[in-house]
Amino acid sequence: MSKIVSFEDVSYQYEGVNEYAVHGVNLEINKGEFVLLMGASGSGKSTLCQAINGIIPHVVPGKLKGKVFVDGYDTTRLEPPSLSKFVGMVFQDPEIQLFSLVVEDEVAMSLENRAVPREEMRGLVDWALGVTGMDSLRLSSTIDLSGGQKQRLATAAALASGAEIIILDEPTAYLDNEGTRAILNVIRELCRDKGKTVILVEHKVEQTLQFADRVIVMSQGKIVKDGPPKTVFSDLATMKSVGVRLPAALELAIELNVAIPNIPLTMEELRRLVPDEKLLPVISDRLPRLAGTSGPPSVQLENVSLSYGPERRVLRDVSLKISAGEYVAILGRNGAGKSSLATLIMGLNKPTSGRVIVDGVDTRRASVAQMARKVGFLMQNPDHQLFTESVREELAFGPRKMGLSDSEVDSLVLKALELTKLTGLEERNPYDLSMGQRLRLALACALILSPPILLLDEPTIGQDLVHLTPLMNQVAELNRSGRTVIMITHDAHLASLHSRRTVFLSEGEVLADGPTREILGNEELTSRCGVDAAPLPRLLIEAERRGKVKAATG
Amino acid sequence: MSIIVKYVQLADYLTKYTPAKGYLYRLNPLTKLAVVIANIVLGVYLSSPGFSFLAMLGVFAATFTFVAAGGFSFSELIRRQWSLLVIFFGLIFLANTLLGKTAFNPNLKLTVIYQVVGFNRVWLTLSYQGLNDGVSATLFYASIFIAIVALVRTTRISDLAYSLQSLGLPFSISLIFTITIRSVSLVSGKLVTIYNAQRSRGFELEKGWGADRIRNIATIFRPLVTQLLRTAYDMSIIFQSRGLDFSSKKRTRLREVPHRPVDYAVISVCLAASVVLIALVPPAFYG
Repeated sequence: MSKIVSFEDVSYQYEGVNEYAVHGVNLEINKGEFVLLMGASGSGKSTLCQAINGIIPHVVPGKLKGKVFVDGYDTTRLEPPSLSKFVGMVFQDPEIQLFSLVVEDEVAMSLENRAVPREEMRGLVDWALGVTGMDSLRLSSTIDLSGGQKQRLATAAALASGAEIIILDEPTAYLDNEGTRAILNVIRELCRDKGKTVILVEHKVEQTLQFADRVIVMSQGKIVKDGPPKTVFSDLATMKSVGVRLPAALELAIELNVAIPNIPLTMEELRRLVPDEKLLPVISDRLPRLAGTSGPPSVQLENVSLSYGPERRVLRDVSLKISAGEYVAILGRNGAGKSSLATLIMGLNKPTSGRVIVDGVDTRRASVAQMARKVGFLMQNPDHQLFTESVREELAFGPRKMGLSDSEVDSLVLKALELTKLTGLEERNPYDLSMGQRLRLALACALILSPPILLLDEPTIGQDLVHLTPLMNQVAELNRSGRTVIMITHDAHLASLHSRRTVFLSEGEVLADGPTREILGNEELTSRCGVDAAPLPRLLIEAERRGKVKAATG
Repeated sequence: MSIIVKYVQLADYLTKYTPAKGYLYRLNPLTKLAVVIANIVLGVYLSSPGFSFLAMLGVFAATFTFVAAGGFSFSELIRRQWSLLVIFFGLIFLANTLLGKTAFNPNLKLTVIYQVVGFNRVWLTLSYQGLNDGVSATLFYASIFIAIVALVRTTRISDLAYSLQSLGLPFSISLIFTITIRSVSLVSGKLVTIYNAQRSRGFELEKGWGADRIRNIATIFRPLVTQLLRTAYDMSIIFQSRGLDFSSKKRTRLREVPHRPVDYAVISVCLAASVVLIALVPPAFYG
């Protein structure tokens, strides 16, 4: 195979920053390879990608040392518009990477810019829309597309420009399992059938590892591992130290002391190595058991419907009772009504019919400010909430506005800092904190009034293990101390590790509600809800069907 | 705060192109632009004091019929945004009735309907002439509003931008125009998310006066501006990654935006109405 990208001792320093974003990188990528690029946030992945498409050094100011070659061309000599003929890039956020309002216009945009003749352009647009499965939507408005469709459209735009190298920087972060599968299938076909070179940056290791020919792991601006998936993941010490999420099968294998040469990356591989009798008890221990739900009701939805106008009914006749101290995960496709359900619990929306009772209060008769004393709401992006100059001010603002005395405010701030392990950072500007710290600060803000219920809306989006683990541990701790936790997520594996009960929403209705291990392990049910079955419960259910689990788990 | 959020959502709705059937969707964007310009010309002329509001009613009715018959549905707009529309046009009516051109003409003899007790000032007088001004002005703005909404919601912005380029507008300006329209939904989405995020923290953003109110606004606008600046930076990176730039002199188009006979007919009617009115009817003022 011929090489298509090469880095020769490349280092890059952003303007005004002392540390190198990438340092001493030597790398060769061959034509037609599927490369999975992994590493914690800030490890240099995006810098590496932007050095390939020429954004670095042409657009982002900084100091570049060494040489980057794309298809034999030195990227310092070609501007990004010229490099876009070789390299197409798809970014994380589907909302900000589309510039046109009609699907086919978006694909044609860069071709029009290059004055490609109309007939040729029409052929390229048709081909790119066909390859990405967007043909039937060519005249649709880009604003009305789902997240998955937007990402496929961005991929089509990159393909139409003739790019041989497709770089995808966390393209599935905002997508549900179906959207993720759709975009990953397109990428795999591009690589396998069309011979394109794919560089994929992803945290979703379970879904992506199976497609990769090669895994590159970065940490602190350097490439620390590079090779076939099995070889890379066999260096467990390195992989753990750089904060990369390990496949569930590998985590179990470590626990079971499976020999390194036989390292399993999928559950099927693990089962070939470890007998069920040994494997199933370990899985069973890892999954939380359903605790009794007989406590006083914490959140109660009684025949709740919610409509945004006559045509948009987002929730239909939903009835749900969550008891105090429960840990409940709510899953479903994008648009299933999960976030709408959260806004009802928070009181941001009032039900069109039925009623929502939260800790004894009917949300129809309470203001959002009153509900904030009952429910702590942690939204996806902590930066949507931060607005003061210091962590202390950020935490004190709400209680102070409620008229609490200075001593009361100080005491609440100290408690919230301790609870979220942010003590010592009181005087720091929130925007100077790391992503993980900002997440914990947003959690502290949600908890400052000591609400008995914690509501998390997609806390895992775009988060790596380094940031996610402390947050999830803290949430688990809060739950153990008696708080009710309701977590909205697409991540079935994460839900299976933390929640004891799972609710599936589909088209605004409750499709299933029960113990997490039963619900998330049921492949038929999960596929009906557009969710991938969680690997650990799935294995237990399969074993149960074969009659092994009872004997194994005692 | 909530009223700002609602108006941004209204802007989001109004700037969203939604494909549908009807001749309005097939007209050349320049034709629809001509309707907007004709509305402005006729409106400025006919909403002046001296013309009965019936003249503006005629313009409004013609615009409304043209847009409704062209396949644009007003029902969703009215259902979703009626309260904001009532506030908006209600304020225009009140302002022009009480504080319009009539009120500031000292030579005018007003037919008084009602005068605020204790204030013998012209601008606090409700008169038949003021009412005529108010109705005319409201119809004028409503007519322009309908024409602009029809232009934006039934036209691919890229077609409009391309049409403007064909009239000599630089590509960079037309692209900025396109991206601005595209960004309205982005800003609206972020504003609503941040507004809800802060309310979820227990902030009562509608309470308080003076400094308190300013602090409330800061809780929304600081994260919003930070987010938008970050988004703008990211978009500029994405823009250049896609090989798009302003420097390219020669461009091609995926499709033509044709001028059909109906386009020429509509433009002719707009042009003729404007010219005839300006040339043949003298401006009329009270007094």
